[in-house]
Amino acid sequence: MTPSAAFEAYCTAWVAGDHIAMADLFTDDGVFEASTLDRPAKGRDELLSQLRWIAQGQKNVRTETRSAIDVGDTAYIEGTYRGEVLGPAAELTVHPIGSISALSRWSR
Amino acid sequence: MSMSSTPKATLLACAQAFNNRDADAVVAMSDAMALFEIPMLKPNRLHGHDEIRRGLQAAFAELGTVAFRLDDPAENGTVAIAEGSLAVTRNSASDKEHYVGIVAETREGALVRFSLYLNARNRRLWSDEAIL
Repeated sequence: MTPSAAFEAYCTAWVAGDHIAMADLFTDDGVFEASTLDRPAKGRDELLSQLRWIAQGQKNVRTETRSAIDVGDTAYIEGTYRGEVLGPAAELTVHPIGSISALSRWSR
Repeated sequence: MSMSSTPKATLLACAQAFNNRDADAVVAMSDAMALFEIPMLKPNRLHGHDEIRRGLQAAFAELGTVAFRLDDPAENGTVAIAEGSLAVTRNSASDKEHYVGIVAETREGALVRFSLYLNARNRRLWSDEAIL
């Protein structure tokens, strides 16, 4: 699986609200890093906990990849996701760009 | 900018033009209908040569120094993506450093889109809790 294919699989699982499928894409020592988190999630247990919160804390998630470039084990990706955050917030739109090796999100 | 320039070369040349605070150089490498998306500017979307020149000149007038420091960009046939930092010194003497991602999209060697992304962590830390 190429890095960008892994990212697309991650998005597919996210849209489905399937945090286990999301976590299954990571290695045992995988890291999920996002500017929305207090600190990176590391390892299977932390990934499952954090990704469950992300997958089930939103509904009607939509993702769109605009550009994807694989360089070795890293994918550089530009895209957008939209989702309705459950709870007091309204709609969140984030434009992610970053690498799947340490999945990170950037916004503008 | 040569019309045969690669997206990577165009991205790096554009970043250097920013470092030189040279709005005319940025315009010279841009398509007439180019779009610049830079979140810290108002307006933060500049479209076409005139808007880009005016917007960047106004921004550069407020800045003493601009310094992009970028990792080696990734590229395909039309797009280059780079991560790095943007450090600026304002004339008011306040300094800022942002962790950034940049996307440069080109057509026939000309820049048609420049999108700057900021790591949102600093802004998130203004809130009391994690967003997600």
